[in-house]
Amino acid sequence: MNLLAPIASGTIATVAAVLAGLLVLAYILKMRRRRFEVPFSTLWQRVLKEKEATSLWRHLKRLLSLLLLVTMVGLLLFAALEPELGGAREDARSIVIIVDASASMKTIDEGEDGSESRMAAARKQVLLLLDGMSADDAIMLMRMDGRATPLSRFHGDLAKHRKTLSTIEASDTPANLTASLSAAADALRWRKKPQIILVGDGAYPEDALASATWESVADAPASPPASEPEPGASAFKNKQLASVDLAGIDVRYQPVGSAASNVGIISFNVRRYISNKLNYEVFIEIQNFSDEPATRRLVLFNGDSEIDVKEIQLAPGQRITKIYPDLGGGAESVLRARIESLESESSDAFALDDEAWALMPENKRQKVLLVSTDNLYMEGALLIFDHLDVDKLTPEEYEVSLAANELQDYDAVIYHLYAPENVLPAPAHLLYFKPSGPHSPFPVTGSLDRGRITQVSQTHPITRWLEMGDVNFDKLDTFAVDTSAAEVSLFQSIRSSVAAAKKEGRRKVAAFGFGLEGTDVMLRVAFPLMMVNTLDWFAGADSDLITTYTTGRPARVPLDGTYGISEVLVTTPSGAHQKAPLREGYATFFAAEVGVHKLVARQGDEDVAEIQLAANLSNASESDIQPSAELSLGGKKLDRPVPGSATPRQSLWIYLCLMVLLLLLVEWYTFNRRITV
Amino acid sequence: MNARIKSLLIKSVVAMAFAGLAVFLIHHLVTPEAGLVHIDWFDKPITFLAPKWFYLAAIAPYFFVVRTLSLTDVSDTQQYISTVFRSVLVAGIAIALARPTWTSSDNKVATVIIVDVSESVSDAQLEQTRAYAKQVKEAKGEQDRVYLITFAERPVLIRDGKSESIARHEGAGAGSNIQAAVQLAYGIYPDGYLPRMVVLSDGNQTHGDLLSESYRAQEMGVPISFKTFDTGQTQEVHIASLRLPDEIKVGAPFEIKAEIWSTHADEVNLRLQQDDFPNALEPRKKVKLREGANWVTFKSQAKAAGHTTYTLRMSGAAYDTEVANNASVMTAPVRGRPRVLYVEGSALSNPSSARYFEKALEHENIDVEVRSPRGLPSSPKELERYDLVFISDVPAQFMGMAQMQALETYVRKIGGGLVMAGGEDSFGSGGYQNTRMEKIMPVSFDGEKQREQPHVAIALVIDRSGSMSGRNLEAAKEAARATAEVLSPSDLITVIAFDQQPMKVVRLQRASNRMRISSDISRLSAGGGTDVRPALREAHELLQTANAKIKHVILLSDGKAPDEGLADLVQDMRASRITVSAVGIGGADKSLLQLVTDHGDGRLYMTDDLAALPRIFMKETTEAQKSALVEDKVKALINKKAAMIEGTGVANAPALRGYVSTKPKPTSEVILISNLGEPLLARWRVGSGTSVAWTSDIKNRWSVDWLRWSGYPKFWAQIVRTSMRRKVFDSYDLSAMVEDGRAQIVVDAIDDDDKFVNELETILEVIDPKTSKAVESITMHQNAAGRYLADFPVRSYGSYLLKAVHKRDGKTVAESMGSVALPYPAEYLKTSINTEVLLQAATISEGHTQVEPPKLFDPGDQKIDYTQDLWPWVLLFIAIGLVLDTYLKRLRILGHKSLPYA
Repeated sequence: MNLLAPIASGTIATVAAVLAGLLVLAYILKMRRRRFEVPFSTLWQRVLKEKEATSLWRHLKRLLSLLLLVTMVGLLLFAALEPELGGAREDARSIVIIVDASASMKTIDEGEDGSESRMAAARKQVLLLLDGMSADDAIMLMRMDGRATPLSRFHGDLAKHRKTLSTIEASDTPANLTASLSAAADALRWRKKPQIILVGDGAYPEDALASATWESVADAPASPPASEPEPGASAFKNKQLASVDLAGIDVRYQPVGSAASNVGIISFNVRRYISNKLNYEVFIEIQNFSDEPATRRLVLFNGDSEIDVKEIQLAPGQRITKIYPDLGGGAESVLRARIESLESESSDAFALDDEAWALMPENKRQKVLLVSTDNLYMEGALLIFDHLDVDKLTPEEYEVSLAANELQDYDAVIYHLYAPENVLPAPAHLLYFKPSGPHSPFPVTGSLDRGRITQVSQTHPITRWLEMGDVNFDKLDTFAVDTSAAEVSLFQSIRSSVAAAKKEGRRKVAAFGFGLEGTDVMLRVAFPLMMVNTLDWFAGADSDLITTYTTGRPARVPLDGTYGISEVLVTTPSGAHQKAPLREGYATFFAAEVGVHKLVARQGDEDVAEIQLAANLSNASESDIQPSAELSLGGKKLDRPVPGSATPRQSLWIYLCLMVLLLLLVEWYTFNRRITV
Repeated sequence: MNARIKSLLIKSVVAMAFAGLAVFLIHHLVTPEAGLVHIDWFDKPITFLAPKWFYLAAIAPYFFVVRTLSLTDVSDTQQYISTVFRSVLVAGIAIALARPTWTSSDNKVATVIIVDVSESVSDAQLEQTRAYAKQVKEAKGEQDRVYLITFAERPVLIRDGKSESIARHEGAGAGSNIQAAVQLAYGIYPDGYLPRMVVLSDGNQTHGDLLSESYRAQEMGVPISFKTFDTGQTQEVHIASLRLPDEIKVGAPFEIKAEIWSTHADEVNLRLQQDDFPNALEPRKKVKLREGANWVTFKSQAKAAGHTTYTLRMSGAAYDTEVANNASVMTAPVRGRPRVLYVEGSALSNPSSARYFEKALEHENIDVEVRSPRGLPSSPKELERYDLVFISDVPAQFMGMAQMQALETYVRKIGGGLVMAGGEDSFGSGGYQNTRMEKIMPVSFDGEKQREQPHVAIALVIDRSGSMSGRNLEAAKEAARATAEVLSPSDLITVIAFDQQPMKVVRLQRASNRMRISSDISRLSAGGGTDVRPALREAHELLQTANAKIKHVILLSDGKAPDEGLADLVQDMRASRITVSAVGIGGADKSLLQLVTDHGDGRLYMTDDLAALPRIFMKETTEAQKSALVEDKVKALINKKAAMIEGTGVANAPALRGYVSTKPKPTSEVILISNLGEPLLARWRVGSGTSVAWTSDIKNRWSVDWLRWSGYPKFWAQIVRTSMRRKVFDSYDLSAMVEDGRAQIVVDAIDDDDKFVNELETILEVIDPKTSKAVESITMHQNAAGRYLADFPVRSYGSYLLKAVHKRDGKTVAESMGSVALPYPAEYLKTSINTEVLLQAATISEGHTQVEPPKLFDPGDQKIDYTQDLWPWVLLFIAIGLVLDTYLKRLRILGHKSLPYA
């Protein structure tokens, strides 16, 4: 037996001694005799005679009374020490109850009138499970949504588990079953009779259900081969990389949810065209997850303005896509799609996927200043793009205008064969062609005659889709590129950098070691592509970027001009503020709520960069709210949970209290009836 | 049972029933959540975790009922007080059993030590970790607690908590998942302890994301501190990646780039294996590495269609710790043999002439289909199945408009490759001037310069003696007109009629003035004797000053004439690069004409058929034009370095024996030139395709020495490969990456007009290159305009081929190929300490960096809120109350009463 002693045992001992003394004192006190009213004096004889005859009994009655009281006090003080029975029984289980708190648990289809959520039903199910637990069972509650979160340590205090359970609410994220099972298996490792009870609606992706393995995956060699490595075909290959090792764990499933209908938006995105960046195309995908045909009204909003309303009819299980090409204009960058039930239709049991958001990547018109003597190739390349407003100045005019402070509000400046001492202040981005002299953004280290570009950066946005291998140059200037200062070499000729890019706070700078004479680059497809890539990079407009994410999955979000900043402030759709890490210009963003999020990177008091992101559920597995009465994991059908064996609770204080209660009842009767005194 | 006791029992039952009902109602009215009761105790809310025990309070009436039977003599008032007090005690027990709790706070600390035991941690570092864990245990206060978790691929709680128990995870060390270990730690902290965590790791993660987790740790109030151990830091060299081109074709050389990463300068041997054999072109390399990333390039060539797997192995590093990362594997799809349609002008007349080129390409894994000019398809659809069309020495007269149009569409729209090779019947000499073929070729057959400077100057010297009158003269006029027709507009023509004296019928002028020339010729009439010499002298004088590259005289005569001084004159003409041919009709003096042509380096035609006269003139003119052929030994000189000829050794090729003279177009790329600076090899883009001009031939006339040159097949194979059509279907960009054990595939379907391609039915096949079988077949899901996604768990280490087939209405419209590899556990990529992530996690969660053990147990001014059970205190108060209850019963505090004696 162990004493958990929530109150120090010394304190209890002291109190016990004092109380025992007081009790004894109470019985040492000389009590006056009881007074009896007798009708006549001869009866006094009888009273006195009786007193003599019961003298011993009277002593015993007092002793018994004292004993009873001491016992009760002793039991109470002993109970206050919280005694526990020794080691758990052999059949005691360690149980992780995974409570599904994913988005589908927001479905309203439970209760007698179908007005209760699956989450509420799951909580009730867990309460029932807790009631059925054996006293020796050690239980951990784990919340499953986009992440796995243990909510308690292993213990058998059911009351505390109930309290913890009451705090679990469904989220906007899909269930991450793999992570939850892995975390549960980790927590159960080495524990006796490990068991996982999954309480949920079974809306889980197939590959997650297939990922479980019931045989230990830790069968690969302890260390990699010491000699000749054999990639691919090596011993590593024996490992089932994607498996969740549930070997030796009894996994059970408690379903919740009843049949319900749902029509949901499973994809909603907007994407700007690559060449015509002022227009965009919207993509919506909707699925009817019920067994009945459904009709819905699909409404598309730009900001708060309706831009399209359609009535759509869906056969059971049908998935349709709606594409809105060549959309343009619209004051807002936020698009919203909503599907609404028609009056004749029954309402949707799962509302979360009835609305979705999408954000157009920012693509403001760029004001570009070209500083060059006449150069038709350059001007021609810039004229191709509708979203550019190009002004042109000669270097002399530039110097004069800059000195007169007339050059304002340019997003980008292109210097051709010219590297001036004074440049436009940030955030104007700078692009140089064949810069030279002391004001070159990258020190010019030399020149290559008839050089060729032998390597193109594989990762930089400027070099995307560029083929430069066959381009001829009479001369190529080489730059000193300091990679330790995050400068990037874009093109290399052998090992010399002939084009480079860098970020200077909010400003981006790119330089090419060639001009547009003595080369045929401007006759290649690569040239306009190089220009648009560079200007897009300046504008932070990544044509690959789609600023719509799914909830429950971490995403890397590019945030321009954030070099040296380590975190962003995220404002969620509900107005809550969180922080997220920012590394090398990418924020790691985890959306837990559906809606529009705002990410702001700050340096000091200044907002350096800001981006809005949309997060949608966009998960067909989660929207498919038909509950699964049965669940198979790794090819094995899961059984329902069973109650534990009936055993006395390890914690004895409750029994001790009940004994005291019984003694109080008995003692009250005996005292009043003078059996004890 | 007497009536009194019966009455008492009934009273008791009724009282208890009412009391129970009251408690039940209270319980359900105040219960906000199932199972829990909250009440506010001043500003501290108290929660009852097991409120059903409140029902016990229903026992209280029992005490009142029993009191009515009391035999004690204390006063009734005191008895009532005692009864109430006893009821309170029972209620107290009910309250205790109902588990009252409130939120309390404390500053005891529970620290979880999270130890990285993955393969990237050296034994020396692990030993230091053990010592550190021991120090942490020694530094803890009496009430503090310490727990120990080790992690590699997955975390494990060390049950005995002893630092000596820190050990590697057998068979599961090739991964680091710090996030999972942190999550496991959340489930360990006992209530009432300030949670602390210290991560002892090199900071390298292969799964999970500590940074994201650190924000949650901050929310949960768990500061993540860290400590790294840099002594015993390994020196490491590893292959970080192996990159292959997106598209590989059979036989086409390409480059493989390997990224070798090193912590130090070193020298290593690299062996590249292609499938089961050493890479044929560059099987091994010895390279000097510098610190950081090093790129090494290998040349290779795929021999068969399907796929090819490259394995790069590294050995010989002076300092290296981990051998598992010294090899990498990558598989890439290989497209089948290119198909070339080779149309040879002499294929029918001299079938063997086509064999040289055919064999050369076959030798280089290119399928060649040889056809005669009649076999040239006339629809682009038929040409579509070829990657390149090769036209060699096919005269324009054999190629109809439809065929030329089909070729232009094939190049411009379908992106096909077109090569025109020279010969007597190619380019300008093949009659292609001003045709579609000239339009799409990178050289002009009758270039701008030629238009300014006549190419050919022809003088027709026609006998108008009396004997020519009648049909002879008419035939001669017709022949003269035909000559003017055959000539290019910029060429020059003059017509000199002669009897004893020459007469200029048509002054020297451009052939474009055809009407005028024809009219002048009409005025020609017969009469007089025959003297050739003055007429030829006149022609000599005229042509000598003419600005033309080729100057030629055609003499027509039907009679006899003195030959005195004629040989000298013709020799003078020859010295002036003027050639002379002669046509004799009727009784013409053959010996005289022979003399002229022998010295004039021309051809002699004797005929009686007047109708043949125009054809003879035309042929003669064409022959003269053919003098655009430069038939001399020429060396191919490199004008521009291009991948097209790189590595072919063309600079050392033997001389060619001739070519067709052409001029480059302004935007073409002239890659090879002759000694005269004229194009030999030129190319340019036409729409989405490429056209190439090779002005020499590919047969045993001008290329006779090349046929024996060992570089001939490679030279031509490379020209074919660099010019042929790139893709059979549309091919959309496919990118793949492995992250956190899952391969994520993205296809961007964007057409040539930059429009997104939507609603494709796309299936992604994941192919194991070892078996060439699909191990997974996944439907790619469109999630945005033009974007299709798929992801799948990488089930085992290795390299996989990815093939996405895009269909519309069941028909394949495009394909995307790619590959993805996870050659060895990412754990072996990361062998140096990466404190950046740990530092950021510590900053975010407000933990300590490089923390020393005592600091881990310093609560500072922090306290932890926890749910404290109040029932032990309730029981303590009940015990005290019970003593008071005893005094209330035993002392007559409020007087006494007399008992009736029974």
